[in-house]
Amino acid sequence: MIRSGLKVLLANCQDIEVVAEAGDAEAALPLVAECAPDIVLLDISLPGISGLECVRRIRRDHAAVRVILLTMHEDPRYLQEGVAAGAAGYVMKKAADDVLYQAIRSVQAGQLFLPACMAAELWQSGNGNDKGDAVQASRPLSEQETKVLTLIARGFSNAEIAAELLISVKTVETYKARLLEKLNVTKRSELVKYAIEQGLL
Amino acid sequence: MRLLGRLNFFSRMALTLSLLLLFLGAISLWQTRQTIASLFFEQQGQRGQSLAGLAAARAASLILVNNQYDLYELLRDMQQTNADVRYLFVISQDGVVLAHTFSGGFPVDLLNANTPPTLAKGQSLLLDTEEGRVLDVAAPIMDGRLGRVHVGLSDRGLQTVLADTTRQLWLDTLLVLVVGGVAAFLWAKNLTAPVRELAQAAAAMTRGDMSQRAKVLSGDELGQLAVTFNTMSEHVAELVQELRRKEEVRTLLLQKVIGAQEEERKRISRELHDQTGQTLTSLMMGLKCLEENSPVGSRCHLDELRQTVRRTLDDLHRLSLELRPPLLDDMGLQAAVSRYVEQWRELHRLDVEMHIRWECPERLSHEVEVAVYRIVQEALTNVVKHANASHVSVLLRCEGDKLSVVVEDDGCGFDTDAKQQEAGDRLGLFGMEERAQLVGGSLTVEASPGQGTAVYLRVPVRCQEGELV
Repeated sequence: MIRSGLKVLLANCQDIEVVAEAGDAEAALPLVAECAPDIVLLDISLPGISGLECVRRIRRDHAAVRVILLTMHEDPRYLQEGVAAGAAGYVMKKAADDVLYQAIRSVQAGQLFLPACMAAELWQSGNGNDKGDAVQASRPLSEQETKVLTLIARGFSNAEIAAELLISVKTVETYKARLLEKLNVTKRSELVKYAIEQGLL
Repeated sequence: MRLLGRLNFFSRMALTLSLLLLFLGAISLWQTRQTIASLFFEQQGQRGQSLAGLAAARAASLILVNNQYDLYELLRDMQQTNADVRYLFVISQDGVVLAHTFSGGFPVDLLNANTPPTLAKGQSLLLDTEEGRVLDVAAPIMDGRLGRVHVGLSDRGLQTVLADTTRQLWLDTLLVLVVGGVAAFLWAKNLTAPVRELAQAAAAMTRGDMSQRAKVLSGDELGQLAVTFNTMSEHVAELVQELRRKEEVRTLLLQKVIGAQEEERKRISRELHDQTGQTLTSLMMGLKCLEENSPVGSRCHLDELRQTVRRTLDDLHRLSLELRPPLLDDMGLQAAVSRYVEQWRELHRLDVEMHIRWECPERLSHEVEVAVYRIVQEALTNVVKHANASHVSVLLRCEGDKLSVVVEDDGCGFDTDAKQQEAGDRLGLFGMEERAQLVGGSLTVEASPGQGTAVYLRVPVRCQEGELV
């Protein structure tokens, strides 16, 4: 269904010619070898061999052929995997009508074509998701507080911490509140981060 | 009383019996001592009077002839022949000591210690001296005209008798205590045997050993209790078995239902994603094509149509994600949960932070991934629905053979013990627990009003090498 739509869309363009089409990766791979196209438009979700695997194989066997992934997936992880597999372009289906020509021309010109919004996310996750400054203790933690922090970071529940340190659950809650206050944070995840930075785990 | 309650039946009986025996021994000892003492004093008084009378009669003639030497001999003789006589002395009518048996001089304060009201009369008096109690008996000589004789009788004999009697009585009491203790032990053992038998059987049942029965040791009330207990335990065993069977069936059914639901969701999600999505995309591209080839007047209209298709595609995408994110099947739990948390943050504009520590192979078993994803989803949904929180943490930690997830918020929390929670809310928690149990995990919810809520999930993981569906 989509192939017919694509064909109609691409036929509109004088400088683009559809040389072959296939319903799955098994059929596509021999066609790539036979027709040696400049660009392959490929869906990530394919029956049988996955789109990503298909990209890897095309890139391995026909380094000159460039691949544009055409997909429903909006998650940057797919983009990441796709680029890692060797895709030169990534086009979301919902935007295909508007950016497809542009994508094909960019890739043909030897550029990478990625959706702007996702490229930003990719950049961010590539740089790690460190947001904000490192947590700093305003006052040094006591020995017992450090113990509680370590257990919190290891995913113990309050009741388990209480049982481990032979104190009451109420006391654990107090320690936790004091930890949050001393480290000037609001969330358990930040406590965990601090514990890891301090090498408590 | 509380201390007594902590002891077992036998100890209580033995203790009571011993205390009773001791009490009895003490009472009888006291009474015996009283009786012996009063008898002794009565007899000693009579003896003293007869001794003093005798001494007075024999001393009279000696005083008359003023034979002081024989008088002294008389007194000394009488003292030597009577072991309990401590002293004897004779004083004249004028209060002059005529003879005495004191070797180291006469103690002056004895002179007026026992003075009868009239000269003609005798008198007995108990004196407390440094040598113990002494019965001083005074007897007049010649009706008091020649003075009087004093005989001092010590109670040393009494003390000896009392000591002997006391020792004997204590020995008797001890003997009775020992015999009584043995008797109490045997009796209590015999009495409590059926009770202990019952207790053992009950303890075995508590441990889960339903085959244990109590031995019926007697035909009395306790025996009847044992029979009733055995009947009850048979009944309980049947019920427990029935319960287990039902639980097994329920678990199996639940597993099937959840499995089927997940499968169905996955299928529909795929269908929407792959088929309907493709169709709509194709339609969109067709419209674009048409738009480019049509006169300027109708382009605007075609563009609107195209935007509608785009929006539908968006909705479809979201729907498919909600049903079952392809990411979960394609890239695993970490990616899917991270993505869900990101979307959740954007959708609800809440401060949620995710922390992942992953030291396992990338992919876990399919059931575990789905269960954990759904539980996180439900926990975050609850945060939006109930918690009114401003900060939320999602921690995912996979180490060794266990996966641990914590979803914590700083919202209003709730009372975990409160029974008045709405049935629907409880069902949500219950569902999470069930899901966790189906993959062998456990779910704990810690919350208290005003303190936020934390959901802890632990799942044992069997790591599975990169399974890509």
